[in-house]
Amino acid sequence: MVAASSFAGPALSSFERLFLEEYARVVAIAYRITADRDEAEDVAQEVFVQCARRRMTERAGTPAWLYRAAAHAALNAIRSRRRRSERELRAFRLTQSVGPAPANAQDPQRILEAESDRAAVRRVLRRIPARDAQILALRYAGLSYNEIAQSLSVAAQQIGTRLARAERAFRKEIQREAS
Amino acid sequence: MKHLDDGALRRAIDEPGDLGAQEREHAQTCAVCRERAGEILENARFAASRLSGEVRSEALPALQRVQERLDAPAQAVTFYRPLAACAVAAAFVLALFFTPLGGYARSLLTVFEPQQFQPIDITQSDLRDLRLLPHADDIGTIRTLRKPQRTYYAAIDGAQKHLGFTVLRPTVLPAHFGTVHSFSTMTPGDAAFTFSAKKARAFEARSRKALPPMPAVLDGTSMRVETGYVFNAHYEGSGPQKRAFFEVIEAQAPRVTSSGAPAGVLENYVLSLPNISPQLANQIRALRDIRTTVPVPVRVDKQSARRVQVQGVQGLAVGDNTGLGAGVLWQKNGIVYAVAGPLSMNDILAVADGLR
Repeated sequence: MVAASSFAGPALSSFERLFLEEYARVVAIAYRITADRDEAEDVAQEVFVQCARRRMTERAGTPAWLYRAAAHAALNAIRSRRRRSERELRAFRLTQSVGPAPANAQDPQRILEAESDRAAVRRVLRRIPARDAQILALRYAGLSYNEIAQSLSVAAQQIGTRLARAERAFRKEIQREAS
Repeated sequence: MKHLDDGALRRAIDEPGDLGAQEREHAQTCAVCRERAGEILENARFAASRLSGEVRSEALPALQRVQERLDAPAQAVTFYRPLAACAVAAAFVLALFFTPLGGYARSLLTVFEPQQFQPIDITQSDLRDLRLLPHADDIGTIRTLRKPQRTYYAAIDGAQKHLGFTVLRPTVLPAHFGTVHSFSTMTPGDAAFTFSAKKARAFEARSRKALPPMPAVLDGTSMRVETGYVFNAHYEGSGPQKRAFFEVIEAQAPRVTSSGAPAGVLENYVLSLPNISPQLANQIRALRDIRTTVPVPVRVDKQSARRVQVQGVQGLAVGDNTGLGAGVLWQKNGIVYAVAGPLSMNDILAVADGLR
């Protein structure tokens, strides 16, 4: 029997193709949840590593699997205390840095507000049911209803209902944070 | 006509073309539906205001990083990070780091080959401290003489043809296992490490960390690590065991040779490095025969270890205290075997004993 897949053979090019086609989208999904580009890229790369190791590169449903795995892994990431601490440390360093501001620097108050908003989004996504957080990440990363349905293995007719419910829960929790 | 449900009203915002003509007309004319649609639209706008936004990413450098990770053999075991698999990986790391040196310390030009596994207690504080050890690059030079290549296969038969030994195949699988699996092989590797007092001094100056003085006779000593063929089988569960998996690793025992320094010097130097606690150093010194014994770190607060009979020989089983992860290691006929995963100890031992 011949090797079904090898990173030194034809499977490499199919993996590369898949990666180049889907990487931006997978990062975008993870970013909706992490609100941190570096962390979203870490998540996306971890997902592709899993994909390669499971030899899923050439399966028809692989993009849908990638999207679901990205949302799932991103939720795990924001639930991880260690990563959260590191991110908060970076935010702390940003706000504590001293010295003359560069000419193109943004208003520090706005930076703080933006970071505060991102932190609130992360907290709420950790708190609401995972199925709600996942569908929000997939939809706001630009997936169509059919693509979301494939990723979550549910009927496309259910997506509107689930999305409406997720958005209602998300808004309610964010407003509760603000009050 | 019946009022539209939330799903249809939500979909009408994003994909209005998917509504039928009657539904569209109803949505526009029915006061009840319009009011509910307004609420749903507000929620959608609110979510969009918090969750929309572009994120830039560069695929090519990311692809390179991913490929480097896929090519790195050491990460194959640690990828899923269950406690038991960590123990397996850590055993090999410790074996490569300490045992060749200790083995050398007792007998010049000793060939190291693992034959047995012995638990050593390790605390969280030990683990934290070990991360602060100087990297090998800080006290010497590593040369890769032959880089192992990993290849994936659809079936064990495919992998077997590319191995220098006969693999044992699982005949007993836990419930809900068997349909999802993958196999890979790793070709032999060869690397050499040469101690350098100059690099150690540079590290001290750079890091302001004091290292034990490197004995003159150790400076320039080389240690060679040769690994053999490695076979890895990965099984995933399905249904109620959807998140579970386990790994079977079968590896030709690594060989380590070293030369250059008198007995005792290497072991004393390594075990006196900062960040190795006296308790840990004493446990390693106390191993029965370090030329053939792999120290397996066992977290005293989270894991327990016990000797077991597997495949007719003595092995070491390590389980976490929650019962959710386990691993077993043994050596037979020059092959080191490991079975590990987030499963019960009984399941892991059944798989291990069922290898044929």
